[in-house]
Amino acid sequence: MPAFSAASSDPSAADMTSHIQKDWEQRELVENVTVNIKKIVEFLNKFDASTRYRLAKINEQLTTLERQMEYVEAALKGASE
Amino acid sequence: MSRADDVHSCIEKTIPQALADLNQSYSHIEQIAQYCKKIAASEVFQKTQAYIPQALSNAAYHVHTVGLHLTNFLQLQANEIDKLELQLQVLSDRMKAVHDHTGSSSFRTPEAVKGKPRSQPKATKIEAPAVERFARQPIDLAALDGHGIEVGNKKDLARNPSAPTLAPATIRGNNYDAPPPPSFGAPPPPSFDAPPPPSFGAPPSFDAPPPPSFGAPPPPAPPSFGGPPPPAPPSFGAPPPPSLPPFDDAPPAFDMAPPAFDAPPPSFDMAPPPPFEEDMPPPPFDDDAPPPPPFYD
Repeated sequence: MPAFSAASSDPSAADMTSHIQKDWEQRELVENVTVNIKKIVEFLNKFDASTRYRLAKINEQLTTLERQMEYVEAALKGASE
Repeated sequence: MSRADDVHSCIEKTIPQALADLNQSYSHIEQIAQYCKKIAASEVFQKTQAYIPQALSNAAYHVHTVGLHLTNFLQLQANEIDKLELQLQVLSDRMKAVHDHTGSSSFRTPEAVKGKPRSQPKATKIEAPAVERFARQPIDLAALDGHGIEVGNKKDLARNPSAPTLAPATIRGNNYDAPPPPSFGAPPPPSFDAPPPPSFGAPPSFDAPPPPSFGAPPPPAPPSFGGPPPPAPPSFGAPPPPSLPPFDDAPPAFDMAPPAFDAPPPSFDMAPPPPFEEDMPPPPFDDDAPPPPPFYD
């Protein structure tokens, strides 16, 4: 209390306290921005994994379809000859 | 050049220049600090701090939207691929079915389809079994003789044997000597006091003339069991009815009242009612008609 009363009474000490408070507020803002950016990056990573899985599944289906199509084409070609 | 010249130059030129630069820098730094202090207090810095979260949110929204669209696009592609897979499966199944049906891989022409022989249904002629022709058997009413209990008064039946009866008056299980059945072939003797024959279902003859009035009621039934005859009814000025012939075989009364038939008494000139026969035509209601032929020989 004596220090606070002294700081409140001293104009230089009050100015320093306001500066420290503003500095903490700026740090809080920077921390929030950083956390949100990390969340965005995490979402992008998950999205990348999901998209890769879907693409792999589609690729597998396309491969199966291509094989079946080749078999049917070969059967039709052999029947027409 | 000597060392003295070097020291002199440093003292006169280098150090004063360095101090001047330092002082200038200090002034510049002080100006920069003042600018920074001024900017931090201004609205530009505050708006910049507010823009940072909004810009970050905008970037996150766009990233999410793009990711959602990409996901939908991939899902649509997967659906289309599923459709293609099903169509291709149908084609494969059809090809397999044609192959199984034709036995070969050729299904180019319709003639390639081989028709499998089918079993023709046999036209089996059904032989109808011979049905025996129906022949109606005549009803033998005599078969019922000796069964059941005679309905009606035995005495009356004994007196008027021409009355149509279906069964003789026999009561089984009783010490009773039943009289012989009435002879249907014999002509009915005339009886004046006998009650009318019981009508077995036949309607009474309403065309018959009323019974003759003798002026006295008919005599009571003769005594049974060979007892003495009852006293003659009192005469009311009219001649008494003829006495009954002895009838020792008369049936007992059985404590029963005489049957009260509503039918009128038979007329003397009328022929006795015909026997109950379904096949025989009804007798003509003619006074001169001969009696019906004997039915039972």
